[in-house]
Amino acid sequence: MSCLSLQGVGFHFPDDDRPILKDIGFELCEGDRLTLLGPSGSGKSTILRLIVRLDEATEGTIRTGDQSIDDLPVGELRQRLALVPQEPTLLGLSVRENLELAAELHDIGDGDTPDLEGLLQQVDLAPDIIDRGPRELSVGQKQRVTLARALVARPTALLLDEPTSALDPGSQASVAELLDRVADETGTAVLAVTHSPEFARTLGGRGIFLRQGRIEDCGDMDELLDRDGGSPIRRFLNGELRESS
Amino acid sequence: MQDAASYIQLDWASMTAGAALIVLTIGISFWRGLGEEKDLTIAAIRCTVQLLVMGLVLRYLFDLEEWYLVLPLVLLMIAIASWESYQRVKKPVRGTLWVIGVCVFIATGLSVSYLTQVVIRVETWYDPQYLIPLAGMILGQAVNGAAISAERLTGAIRDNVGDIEAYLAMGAPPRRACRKHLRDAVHAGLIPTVSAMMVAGIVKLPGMMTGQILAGADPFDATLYQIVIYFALTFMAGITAMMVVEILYRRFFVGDIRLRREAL
Repeated sequence: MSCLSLQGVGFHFPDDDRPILKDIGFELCEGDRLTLLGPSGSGKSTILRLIVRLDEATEGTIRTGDQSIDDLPVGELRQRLALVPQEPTLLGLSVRENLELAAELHDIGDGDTPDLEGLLQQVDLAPDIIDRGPRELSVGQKQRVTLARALVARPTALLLDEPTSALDPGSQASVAELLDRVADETGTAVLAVTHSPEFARTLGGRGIFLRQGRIEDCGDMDELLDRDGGSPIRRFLNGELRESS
Repeated sequence: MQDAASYIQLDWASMTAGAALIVLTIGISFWRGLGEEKDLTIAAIRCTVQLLVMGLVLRYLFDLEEWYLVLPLVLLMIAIASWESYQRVKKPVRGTLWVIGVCVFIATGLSVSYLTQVVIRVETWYDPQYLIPLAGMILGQAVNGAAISAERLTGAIRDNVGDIEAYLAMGAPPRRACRKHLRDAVHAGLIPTVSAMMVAGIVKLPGMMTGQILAGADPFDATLYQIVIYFALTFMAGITAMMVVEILYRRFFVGDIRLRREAL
């Protein structure tokens, strides 16, 4: 059974009928990797927001397991499908407090206390940073802490919004490798939004190319990234397609 | 507590001499080119007219002592105080005026009833000699509590959308996502009252106490009144701020689910 499926999903703002997203559909199963690529403003991040109901889809259905997301208590939905926001915000708390906060919010009780140091190792962070505050961490470290925080609740899918936007190319590849490993080890599906073809290629799996709120192309990531000169995704990768208006 | 002989009544000569002070201030501003003349003149005229009207209304009400005249005046004072608070909130979210109005109304009702019935124990519940001055003082504090806390909360939510959504994305309910901002807003609403209590009797003599002493009351009696009034003002500012933030933050959310885009 798919852990996440979207069918005919559309979205427009309450005071504006112009569609931000139109007829979006895809499916994600255990351990899958799916990357959403496209110019800024193409609606990639909005898809993630609709899945966890930070915005409400105006058309179509989104399901997790055999349930519509509207029928699930919102806390449970956000435990199953963990969103990692673009800005790696640590909420002014130390690494330990962040991980404990996630455990508290997801009601992970004493009998099932997560192994915090193990979580840090899982995201390639040294356990001795556990008592550091946000100001004592680099952007890359913060990114990994937000990832570890999302993993506390053992979600069925990780939704990552531009996870490498603040990182150099070397770090981008290592985050993609890390996600690939997490997906293999835990069976967690990975849905990532990115601008970076290097990240997308390293993560592998499937890809969707979005433009002006619509799916323009999809397929295996390697095939998608190797499309020939006339295709929209090739033009995007060559820098010929700019921000959607 | 006082009689006509225990204080010196002001006559026209006294009032003219008093007015000379504001005229002098305006004159100095003009002489030094400070440009404050217009504001000072308008404020002085407004203050004089408003207070004279209030004085005449109070004299009339004190003579009649009818609840159906006293109560509408208190309601009008509550409405003006709520409007004044609302005006001080920059870019208020929809519904802020109602939230402030209801909270100020409830807090004033509670405070004034408690003061007149339990603390001072007036014989007639609507006795205008007590009800109106007490409501006036207490409302002044409610304006502060409501305006400062509403303004602080509104700004904090809009400035911290990323953090609030990070909390929501972790499954936190809206109140948990805003907890820090709710606390900060109530704290800010209480600062003027707490500061005033800290310096009471040291840096300045409070207005009500000074007024009673000038009117011939025993200074110790005036002090007891002032202490009770401070406690009531703190209750008023605190309860208004707490109610305002508890109701207002919900205006920024759609149920327990997400931030309301239109409110941001």
